[in-house]
Amino acid sequence: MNRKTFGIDRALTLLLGLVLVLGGVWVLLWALDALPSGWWSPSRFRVGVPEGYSDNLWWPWAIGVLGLLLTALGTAWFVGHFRSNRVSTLSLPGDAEGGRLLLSGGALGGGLAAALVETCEGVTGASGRVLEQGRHLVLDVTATVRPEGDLREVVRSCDVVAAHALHSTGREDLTCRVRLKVASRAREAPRVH
Amino acid sequence: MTSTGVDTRGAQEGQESQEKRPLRAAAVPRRPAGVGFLGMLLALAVAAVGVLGIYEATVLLVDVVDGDPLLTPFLTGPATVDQEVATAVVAGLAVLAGLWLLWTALRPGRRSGVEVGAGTGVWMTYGDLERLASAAAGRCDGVISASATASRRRVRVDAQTTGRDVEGDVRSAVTERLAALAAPPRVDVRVQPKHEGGAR
Repeated sequence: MNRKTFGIDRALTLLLGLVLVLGGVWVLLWALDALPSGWWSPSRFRVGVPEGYSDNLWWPWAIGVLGLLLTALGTAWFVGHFRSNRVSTLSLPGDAEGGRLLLSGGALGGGLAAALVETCEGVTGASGRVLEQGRHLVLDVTATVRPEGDLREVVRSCDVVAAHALHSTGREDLTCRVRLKVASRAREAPRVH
Repeated sequence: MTSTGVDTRGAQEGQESQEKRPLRAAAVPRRPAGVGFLGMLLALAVAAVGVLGIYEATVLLVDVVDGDPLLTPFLTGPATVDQEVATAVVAGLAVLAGLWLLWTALRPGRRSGVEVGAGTGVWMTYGDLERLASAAAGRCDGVISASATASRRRVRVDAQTTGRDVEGDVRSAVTERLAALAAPPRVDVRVQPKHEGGAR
């Protein structure tokens, strides 16, 4: 889910919550006849569209157009939750206009992951990709480590390959995040005397 | 920038980086807040109402589709709200639902895991931390099996052992294993000797 969709989710949920709270409090006070004097307080009110509206010629058209709009908006909003924030290509330094010196985000992530597996014995597998998260470019790597592997050695290898990635791309704005995934412990006999 | 676009930011910053310096650390990701899931449900609800509107218009305008209008009777039916207890109860429930929505919308997503001390960003989930701790405990002499539960500040290890004297070994093994974390959590160990309570 990208940041924009998340912002829409948050804004509309806030709006719906506010409407329910403010409307609910007003109706609650009204139903208990506890509204402050001077506030609008009808003896009863009718919900729904005014009588006679549905007899108009435009009624089915209005319902249809509104239906189309809501379907399109709802579908676009729903699909937005599954939109990838993956970055396909990065421009390299010296390419001011973009399009000449390009590096594939997948190749960068995959290369860093392969280097990690190659340089560190404790890492059994890894994968990587470049993501855009907010205003940051993130080189996102997942490395599977042996449960008994030396974490400090793995961390040193992560720093080395991340330094190599910075040196080879020259992209100071690129950030890095390596998730260490601990492999399930292989079945082994308990160490009991 | 989109997934198909070319990112040119920082392209002109030059290659001033030193070979030894790793990429800057990105923050530990946060679990998607509940509002994301709620947004999906709301989006589906909006689309469903839209489909109902299209169906309604088709039924009303075209004779091809058999069926009764659903929305029109619902929207134009007699529905008056009176000052009565049932209205107050429904309003109270609406206030509670609204407060829950506000809380869900404003609650930040929890961090997905803990940072490992490194120059660049390295992290692991609580589940991985638990596997690491239980593996470290399981490798101690006298431990038959071990499991762990982890949070940001605390890791609790439950171990089935051959005796009570291994508790210190388990604690130090797990503590040493987690020392690489940026903020090592407190390690609590609970040992359960297998035949404690008498042989049967």
